[in-house]
Amino acid sequence: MKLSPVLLAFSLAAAGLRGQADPWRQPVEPRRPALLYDRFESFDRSDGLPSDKVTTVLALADEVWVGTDHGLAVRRDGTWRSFTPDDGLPHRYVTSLSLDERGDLWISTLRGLARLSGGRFQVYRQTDSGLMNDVVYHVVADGPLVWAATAAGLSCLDTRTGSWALWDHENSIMHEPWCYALAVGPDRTWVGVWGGGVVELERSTGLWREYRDPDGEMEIDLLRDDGPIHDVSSFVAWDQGVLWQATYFGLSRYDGRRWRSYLAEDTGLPGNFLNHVSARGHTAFLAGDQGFAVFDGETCVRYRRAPDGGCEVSIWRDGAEAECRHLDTAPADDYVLWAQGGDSEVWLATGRGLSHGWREGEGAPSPAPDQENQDGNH
Amino acid sequence: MSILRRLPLLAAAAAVFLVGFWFLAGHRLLLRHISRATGRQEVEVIGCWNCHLPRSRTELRRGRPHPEPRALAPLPNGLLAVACGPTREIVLVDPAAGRAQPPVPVPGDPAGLAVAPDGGLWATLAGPGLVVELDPATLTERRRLQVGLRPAGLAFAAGGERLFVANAGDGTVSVLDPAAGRELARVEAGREPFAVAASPDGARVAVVSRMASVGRPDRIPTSELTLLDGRSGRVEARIPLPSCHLSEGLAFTPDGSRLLVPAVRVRNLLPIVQVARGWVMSSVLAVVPLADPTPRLLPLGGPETPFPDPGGIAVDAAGRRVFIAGGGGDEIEVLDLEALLAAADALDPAAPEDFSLNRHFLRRRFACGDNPRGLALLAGAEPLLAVAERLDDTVALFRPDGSLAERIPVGRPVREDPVHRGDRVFHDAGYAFQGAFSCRSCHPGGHTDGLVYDFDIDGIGRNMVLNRSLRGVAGTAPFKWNGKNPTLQRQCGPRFAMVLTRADPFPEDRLEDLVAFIQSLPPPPPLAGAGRVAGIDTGAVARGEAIFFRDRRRDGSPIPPSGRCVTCHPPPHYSRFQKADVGTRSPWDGSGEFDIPHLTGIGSKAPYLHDGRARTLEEIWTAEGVGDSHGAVTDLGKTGLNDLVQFLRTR
Repeated sequence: MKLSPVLLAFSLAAAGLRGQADPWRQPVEPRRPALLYDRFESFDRSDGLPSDKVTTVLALADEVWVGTDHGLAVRRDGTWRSFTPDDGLPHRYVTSLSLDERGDLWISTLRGLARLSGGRFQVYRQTDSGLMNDVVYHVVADGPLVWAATAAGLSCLDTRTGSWALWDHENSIMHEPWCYALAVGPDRTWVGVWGGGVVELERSTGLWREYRDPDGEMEIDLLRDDGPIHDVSSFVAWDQGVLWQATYFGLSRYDGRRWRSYLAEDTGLPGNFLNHVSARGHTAFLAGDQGFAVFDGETCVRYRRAPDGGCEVSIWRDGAEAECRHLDTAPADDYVLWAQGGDSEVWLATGRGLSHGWREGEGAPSPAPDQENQDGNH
Repeated sequence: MSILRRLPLLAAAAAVFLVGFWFLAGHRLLLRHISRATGRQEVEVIGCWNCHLPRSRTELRRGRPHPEPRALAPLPNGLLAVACGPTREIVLVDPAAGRAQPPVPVPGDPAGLAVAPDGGLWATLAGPGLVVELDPATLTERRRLQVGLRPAGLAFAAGGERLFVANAGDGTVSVLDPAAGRELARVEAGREPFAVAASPDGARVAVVSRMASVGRPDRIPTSELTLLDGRSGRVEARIPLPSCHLSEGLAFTPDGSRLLVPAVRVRNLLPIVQVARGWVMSSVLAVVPLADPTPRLLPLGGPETPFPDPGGIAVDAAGRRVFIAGGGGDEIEVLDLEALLAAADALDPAAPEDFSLNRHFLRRRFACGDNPRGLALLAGAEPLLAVAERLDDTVALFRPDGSLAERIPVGRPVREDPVHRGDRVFHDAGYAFQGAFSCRSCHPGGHTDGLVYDFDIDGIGRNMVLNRSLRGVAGTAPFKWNGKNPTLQRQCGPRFAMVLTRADPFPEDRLEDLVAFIQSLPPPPPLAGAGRVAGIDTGAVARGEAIFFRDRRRDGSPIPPSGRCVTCHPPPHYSRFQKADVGTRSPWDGSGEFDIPHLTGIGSKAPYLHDGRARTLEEIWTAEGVGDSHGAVTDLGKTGLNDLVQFLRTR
């Protein structure tokens, strides 16, 4: 049978368009060697932060925003400035930060969502807006949309129309409404649900898909690589066709076809209790209760404080520790809540301050990672 | 044959039956039918026209639309472009020849005009939400771009590489790349962003909002002056203008160091008794230094010489003068720029207000035509000030000394009609105490200013009520929150003069015209896109509609009629036009029963409830809701409530 050239062209175009929207078929950057940072500096209350317990960080080209359990802070030109509820912040505990395309900063807190624009906070709460719940764990601004993962479900604000869309366990596939984290990719939004694994929303069709641990809620992984490593998701991140799921029982990676599971014992992760993961290309930046690590699925470079105040760097390949180094400087603490990494530097929110690492060979700290990757999403 | 013989008898029996039915039940049924369909309670003669020509009376009283010139833009070719919204036309005026060219229709009601550095004329079209580029010589459309809801002012920045458009209907500013023909960003501004101005170097853009932001009713209302980067559109500062609203113009000073914003200064937290002392409403010019953006509010009027409803502004860089249009008093003020800035610099923002401060900078006032709006300075051997005299359908050209050089009719002449005469009454401050304010001073565009007022007739501090919108009130009697006024004539009559304007009441014929105008005001349009997120229909509106009309809870149990939304809010106006108690009585209210408001355009009418305590629709049932006292909602959950809100926003 002879295929009509018009039909062929149409089919190819349609395939191309589908490929564009398919989050699993993204152009992938060339593989790079494992990242290695060799200098660290840290900031705490003595430098002007509102608290030593830093919960999140967002490094931009010319400023660094930091969320703590006692307010928000920004570093510009070497000077810190703090914001507290007295300044209009809805709550002192900041859980995440995201910059939108208009240059406004979105702030999730334990008592509402806020937008900082032109020096003023605008607050959204469950009682005065479509925000699902005041306990907001993660916010991601994506174009005109603002996604918020809350303790009672998922909210999405369309800033152009002022309309909200809400999803919880009653009107979506999610097993329970406790949404902990978000990742936004082309035509897809993934939600890390506390006891429900990862759910995926295909935005153009409104269809949902659920990824659950086939082992149920068992705290061991009976069968490796059979799905998410655990139903308790602490964070999710997506970039260039790879979805990462951080849990309190290990790490998972999904490329649209198969899941892979990773444990500290055979990979070198900074513990199986992972607080946060961000992605850049096919590299994950992991924040755990025993330090932080950079992991590309094969090589893991883990950073942990040494007894002498320096840093112990452990490089794992093929399931075993291959190399160990010692650095003179270290992050402020091994309990890391957030890690935002780039080619030449990394920012860490830790239990004892904000830490900044870089490659000394790069000289002075270079500009921040691409803003596209600022919050662990595309 | 026998049937034919009995036909007269049968016909007589049928007639007796019909007459009996009519007297016993028919009249009542038909009245109920008309009332349900139209919301009208005062039907004089029952007939099909009551439903099928519901606004016939108003339509008969409204003639052809008037041009109502509003915005002006001088073109490089020496002509002056004039936007005529109601007739959906733009007119080119030749100031040198002293005449206007025939109007050119455009695909919408033009609201704002701007000239690009390349000479092209750009116009916002409020209804369709467009900006169009027009050939400055022929007004032929070159291209169009979609922006937000009801775009108003616009300005070019960054050497013409960016165009900023204030979308009054959805509270945003569109940042456009005119060369590429696309919208780069849509930035949230204050409530009803209206006027736009670019700094002389094009590096910054300022947008002023006409309405005060929705806040707590016991706080000083504040409107927003939004300052944006002229290239990226990023918001640099959101400057609050305390006690200021209804701004329809703004300008940079020639050196770009300050912004000048004419505004109505409202003190709604004072009881209305202060009208008689000149305190409730006055006019100011907010001078905002960009280095220290604390507004200095300088009075435009003086003691016993108010300058109501200031609007358009033009700054004469060469002559060091500022011209401001006074829409309520039909006057133009001329201010000395240097003296004005000196007075602003010397003003202590915390000092007591000096009503006579304008003696330092006011140089002249001169009369103009009815309801002056847009101003423009025309370069030439003799500089002229062009004034759009909206209600006279003319553009006047004044010399700097205030003498009239020319008055040019624009558009086709239209005969005066009751609605247009009522429009004049509505915008005329001459009916209020000392001519200090007009109906428009609280009802911009016939809508509401969204503020709460304390009418002292029932005691100071008691029964404070939210100002209600006049848009869409035709057929929604009775009026007032206590439902005591059966007609608009009563609402706006002598009693109104006693409690509010503190002056002589409207003459009877003027009152009838005013009512005709108010009845001609359409309801605010529903918020387009409500229920849609990122262009995708989430189904929220359909689900919300089902909730609105439901008679059973989610668990299947019946909802009593008193708990159903539709019982008190039946379509088409979504009101039963009676009073109801929804549990919102405060210690300062004399009664808990309030008139059931109609819901058309409800999305644009924030705040809500009789005293404006609910800032958003959600707050009606959350922060300010008490159980199921305002409809059965406690079983809905957050997603159900959001569906209901999204449905209401489309009404």
